Amino acid sequence: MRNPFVRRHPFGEEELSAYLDGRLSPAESTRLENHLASCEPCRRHLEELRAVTEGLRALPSVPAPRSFALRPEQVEARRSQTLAGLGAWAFGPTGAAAAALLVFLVLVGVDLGTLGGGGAPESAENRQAVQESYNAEMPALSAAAPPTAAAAPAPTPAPAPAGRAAADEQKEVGTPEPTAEAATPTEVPPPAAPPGTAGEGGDTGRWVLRGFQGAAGAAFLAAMVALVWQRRRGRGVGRT
Amino acid sequence: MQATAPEDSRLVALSQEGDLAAFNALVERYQGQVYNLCWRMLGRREAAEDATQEAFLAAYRNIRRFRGPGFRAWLLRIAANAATDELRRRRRRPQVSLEAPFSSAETALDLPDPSAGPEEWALRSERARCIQAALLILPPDQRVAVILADVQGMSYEEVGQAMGSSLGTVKSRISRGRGRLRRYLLEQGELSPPGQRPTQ
Repeated sequence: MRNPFVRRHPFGEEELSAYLDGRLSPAESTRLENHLASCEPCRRHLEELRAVTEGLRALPSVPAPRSFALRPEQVEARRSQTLAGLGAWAFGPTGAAAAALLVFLVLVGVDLGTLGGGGAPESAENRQAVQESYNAEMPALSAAAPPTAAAAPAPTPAPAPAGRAAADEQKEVGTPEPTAEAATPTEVPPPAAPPGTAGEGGDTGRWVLRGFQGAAGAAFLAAMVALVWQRRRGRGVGRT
Repeated sequence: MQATAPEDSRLVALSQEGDLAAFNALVERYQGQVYNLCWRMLGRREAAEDATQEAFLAAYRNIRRFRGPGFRAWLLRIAANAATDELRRRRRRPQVSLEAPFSSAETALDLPDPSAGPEEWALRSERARCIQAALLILPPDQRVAVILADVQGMSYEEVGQAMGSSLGTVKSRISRGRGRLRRYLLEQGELSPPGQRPTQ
């Protein structure tokens, strides 16, 4: 249901303003004029808008107080200011955010490289051993043969984290640890070793790396917060 | 025989090759419009001068990126941005409040045609001062649109080019700006018949 005010005055300020500028279609203009003929408030509104535009058009032109022609030294000075601006950017919140993000991405890249094998020959061998072992076990699994203690830990379903790599490799070489899980008929892959219990050196390095990642991420977030705060402060006070 | 002034396009082409003299010919041609836009946007002579100079420097720096068609609209767009930046800068570091009452030197810039009678002259002068004060309460986008359309007499299409906005946006900004000015002037008693003016 339409607002009673809108029903009584179907033309808003935008239409009245456009009418003053001759920007309504002939049909719209005729409708508006018909309405104005019987609506005193809209007529008054239109006249007030007309008075505003006439007042604006009557504002005198302000002469330029001087010549703004550029001098060669102004153009040159601007080039050095641009370089200074770049410096300010580099050392301000924007630069800090960019640097922190870069460090964060580099650390994530290093971490992913480590996770994916990092190109180390022994990791590649490990992956190959896992694959061969998996292939060797597949027929037995597909024939629903009862799992044996030796075969049980071999079918690692997903690439193991780097921390587990050494332990897995040891198992693939043929000396599986006779764990309690391995002895049970319903075999499940053992859970990943907690940090610090297996692959001590690799895990410690990884957690140190994660620590740096966290610090870089936090620095990035802090720089972004500072940047947003600075921008909002600038924009907020600039608004009228 | 009087030599005709070179076309904008010729001067722009020379400026794009680094000809500062050609660019300065464009500066001389348009500095009045640019300064007026900045002055109406900022309401202060010093601020308007800074913004005008900044606009021409920015235009010179970016002239190679200009691809046409309208140099004036492109230049006024840069000027509007420079004035808006100047407004923000001065709000952050307010040496002089932009809402402070105008000094006599500032008001003197808005004096109407002195050929009018003394009473008419005083009325027009007061109206011009009040309208300029009202312009300063508008948000920057509405302020630019109203100044370009109503003070500088540009068409909606030209305003759209100068603001990088669609016709619908221009129409909306102009009408909202005029609406705000109307309400402000009504509050100030500037749109009421003299007998109905509110007493302060």
